[in-house]
Amino acid sequence: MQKKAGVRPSGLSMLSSKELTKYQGHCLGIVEGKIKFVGKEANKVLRDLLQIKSRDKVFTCVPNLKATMVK
Amino acid sequence: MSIPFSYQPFPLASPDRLRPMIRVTLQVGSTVQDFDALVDSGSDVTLSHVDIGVPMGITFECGANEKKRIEQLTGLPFEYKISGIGSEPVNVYVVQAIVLINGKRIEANIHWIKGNFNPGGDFPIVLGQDTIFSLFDINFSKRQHKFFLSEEVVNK
Repeated sequence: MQKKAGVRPSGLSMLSSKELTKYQGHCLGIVEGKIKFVGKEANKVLRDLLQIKSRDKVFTCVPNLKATMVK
Repeated sequence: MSIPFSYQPFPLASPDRLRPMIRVTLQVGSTVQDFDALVDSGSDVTLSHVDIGVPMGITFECGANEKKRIEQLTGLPFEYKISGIGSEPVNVYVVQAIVLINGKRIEANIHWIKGNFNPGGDFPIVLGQDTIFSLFDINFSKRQHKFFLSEEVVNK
């Protein structure tokens, strides 16, 4: 994980290049800057994350690096 | 005053890909959760997915009276098809939720896409013209790898 300065950094911005590669195509639940939950099912990762009592938790997904915005 | 946000780089893509991502808070009833969201000036509406909405506490399978109540709130059909996301129109539900963006709160008519969420190709939330662009002026600078939110209103 990379620590970035600034207010409320996005979940993706906390990931290193290595983690962006490792977790592409996955949903992540990040709690206090650490990856707590990983999975391909968004609803499961989100349900797990919602159980955590913390003010600093963010849900994100890592796009496949080959994915494009043009569909 | 403009508030700078960094583009999210995907350094292993070829060429390097940059996306304007921002952390937002979604609130449905008493359920509150932060999400990464894509800022998409090309989207008229704000989008998410049923796979996100259900854990947040939204009941999409509801009776006629509840659908009517929601339609009165949103001013839109409870279910319809929207175009421009994929090659085919996609089915959505329209249900309001509260979105907090950099300290600003908006009751958004979120379009919840039906069908399986693909973490490799979908974003949890896409902020369109009806939310973030209603709250802020946004300047994109891909050259600086930053985008800027501004609340300033110029009166001339």
